[in-house]
Amino acid sequence: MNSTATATTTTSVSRSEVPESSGIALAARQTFALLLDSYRELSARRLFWISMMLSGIVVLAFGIIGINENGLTAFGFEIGLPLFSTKLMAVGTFYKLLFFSLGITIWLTWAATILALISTASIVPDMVASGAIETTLSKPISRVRFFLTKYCCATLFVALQVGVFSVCSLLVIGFRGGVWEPRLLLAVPIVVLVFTYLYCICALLGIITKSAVAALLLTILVWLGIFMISTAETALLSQRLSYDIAVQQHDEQITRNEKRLAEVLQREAAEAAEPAAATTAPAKLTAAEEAAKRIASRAAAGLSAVLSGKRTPSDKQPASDTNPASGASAETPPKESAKVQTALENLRTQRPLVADTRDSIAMWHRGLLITKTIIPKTAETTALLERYLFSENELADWRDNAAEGGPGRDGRNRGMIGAVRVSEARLMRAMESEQRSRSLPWILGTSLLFQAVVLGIAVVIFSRRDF
Amino acid sequence: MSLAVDLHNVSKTYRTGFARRKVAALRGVSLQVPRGAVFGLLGPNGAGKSTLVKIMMTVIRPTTCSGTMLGQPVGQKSNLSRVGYLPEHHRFPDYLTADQVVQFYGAMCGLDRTTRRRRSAELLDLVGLKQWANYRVREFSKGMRQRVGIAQSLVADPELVLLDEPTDGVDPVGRRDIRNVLMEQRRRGRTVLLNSHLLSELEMVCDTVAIMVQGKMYSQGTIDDLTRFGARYCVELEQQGGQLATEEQVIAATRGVIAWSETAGLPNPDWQPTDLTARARTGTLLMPSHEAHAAVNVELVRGMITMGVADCGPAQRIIDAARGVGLLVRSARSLRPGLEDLFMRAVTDQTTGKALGPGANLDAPARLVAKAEQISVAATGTGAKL
Repeated sequence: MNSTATATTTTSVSRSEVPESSGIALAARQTFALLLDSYRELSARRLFWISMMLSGIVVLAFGIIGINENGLTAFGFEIGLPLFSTKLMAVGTFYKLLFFSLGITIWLTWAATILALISTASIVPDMVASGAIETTLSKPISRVRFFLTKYCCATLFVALQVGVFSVCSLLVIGFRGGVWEPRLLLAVPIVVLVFTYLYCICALLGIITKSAVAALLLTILVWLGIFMISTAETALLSQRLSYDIAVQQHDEQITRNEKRLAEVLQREAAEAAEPAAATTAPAKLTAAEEAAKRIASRAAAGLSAVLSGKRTPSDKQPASDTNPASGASAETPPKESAKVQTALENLRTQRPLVADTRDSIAMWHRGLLITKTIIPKTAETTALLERYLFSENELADWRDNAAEGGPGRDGRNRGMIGAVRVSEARLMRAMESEQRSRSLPWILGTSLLFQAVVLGIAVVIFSRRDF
Repeated sequence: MSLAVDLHNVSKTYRTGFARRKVAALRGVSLQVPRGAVFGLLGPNGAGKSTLVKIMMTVIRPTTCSGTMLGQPVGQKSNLSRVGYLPEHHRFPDYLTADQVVQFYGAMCGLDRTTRRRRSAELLDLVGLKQWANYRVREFSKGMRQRVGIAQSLVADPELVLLDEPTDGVDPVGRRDIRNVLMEQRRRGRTVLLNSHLLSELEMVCDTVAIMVQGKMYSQGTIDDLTRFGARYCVELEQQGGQLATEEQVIAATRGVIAWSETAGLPNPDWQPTDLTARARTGTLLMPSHEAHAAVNVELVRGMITMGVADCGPAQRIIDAARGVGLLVRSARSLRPGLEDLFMRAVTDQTTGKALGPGANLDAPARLVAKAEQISVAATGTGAKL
């Protein structure tokens, strides 16, 4: 021991060969190192480059497909599609629609997101794998910051992909369609957001299961669940709106028919009075006038009954107590008023039924909407891009035409609801305005809150775990 | 003496299996590592060595722990830039080259770009991977990865390095290289804590060791101190003609200097290989009245006299006596128990004479624990005097 003691005292501790770094410099260097490491990790994966290539193909498709007054063009061929022609939409709108529906809705939010999830699913399980985590945790970085930095780095994958895709699309659409639409770049934050809604779940599952495959499959399952809830909500919304419109149409038609009935009854009363006046002597004029007055008052009673929605006995049998003096023409009820009456009665019987159905659908819809409030809203977030990319009426003509099955065809209806037909075009407009009316805090705020909660759980588990 | 690591009452209990059964991996461990020492932490599999090191590196959260590391409380993250660590079964990102790995961990310790480039080049050269610096780690053999790991642990020029099985899977040349790296660290006043099963390796580099058994500290101190228990001096005597001297011859020759017992008994297990068939004659060395020497026990098995002292002084009179009657000295040497003897003593259940099984002590019999505590107290008692 003596030898060691002397060794310790005689050997002066040589100064450290590395300079000390301040807190901010340390954090900056660590963050940059983790960023660089994530880039290297992702670029070492084949899938990263495969996704990039596929993105390139989609952008290429934008360059190939064109539009003229007859339909679509590709490689100099013309595809006669009356729905897609410059008659119905501007060239710029067409390209934006193509970018949104093909590029974003199909490619980025489905295919590319799945590819991105597959590539990034293993980042967290690899991070917490035994052998890898010890070395990193032994560095002067807090677990929370390490986890969150890693998480942000993983979203780089999607940000990079969407960024490249959007910029290329912007250029292609600019050169090909002559439209320079910088709002296309909004796709980057929006698609990255949608990805993070899913990736936070994947990260949490990765921490829990430590298995990339399990995390990926469960995430896709959750995504499917979210998708199903969202689809069910949209379907119920469409039903609710159809019934809303139907109730409105019932009300409108009831008012219209009431007016008509009043008119018809008045006209018929007048018609009934005329022949009476013509056939009787002037002395009997007063009697005829009285009869006319009676009919008119009955009509008025009928009208008031109509307005109050009640049926009076006189309403049921309008001609039973007619004055015999008023003549044969008053004996049989007027044909037109009866028709209107039947229609009105039908509307009145159907309206409460339709309203009841509407109410019960609305109740279910409200339930689903509450469920939806706490889960991430992938579809709505994607639809935000549509909201910002197109003005409210930009697609109205095209949409109405699409709803009617193209120009020159009969309008498509949703079939009878109660006593009315609801037009598809009106429903689609209602759907769009309903979806546009959903507030940004509701769509993004609650989704981000969900993400924060999931990440919070993941951070707590990660910070408390022994490796 | 200033301590690089000063831990008290470290315990870790975790739950395992479907039944969430409690397992005590560490049970109130204390550890004192002096600054500037190469410290060996040894113990059988599952003794809790790695757990203890991981607690120091904040990889595992202790159930209870008090004490400091480099003067700061254990578990303080900012302190870790001054500590290097090589985990046992490390796995570095295999898409990185050796240079990138070292630089990445350098950046995680907060080194600037110039410093980490320089350190990476120096360290990869030091561990003999200069030519492999720009090859991906996935192409490396286990031993090469281990070298990368050592380079990584030293990147920030830490004051304290914790190496968990650093020579695992490394060839003899590599082991010598690693040993030289550790010596260099000690020369520069750095503290190294080694965790290893390879006792011969530890013996070559360590000044101080601690032995852990079943989640408890068995003993700690310098190797010299810890092995003093079995220090002995052996003299082997030969009769004319090359035959080993018989016991009777030896006893007859040394009757004037040793008081022999009348009957033979079991040999001292600390001195002799435990061989229950061997019978030993025991005795006490007779000291001249002017020499203030404690009584020295002597043992005789066949032609070899073993004395319970480390120095050669007391042996001289025996040698004189034996040579006086014509016996020859075949060999005379001082023997100290190695780390292996120390280790075996630690892991042997004193009552049954059998080695303890690996892993944490699931049953934790009070008897054994009590015994281990006694020995631990005794050992730390000697350690404190150092």
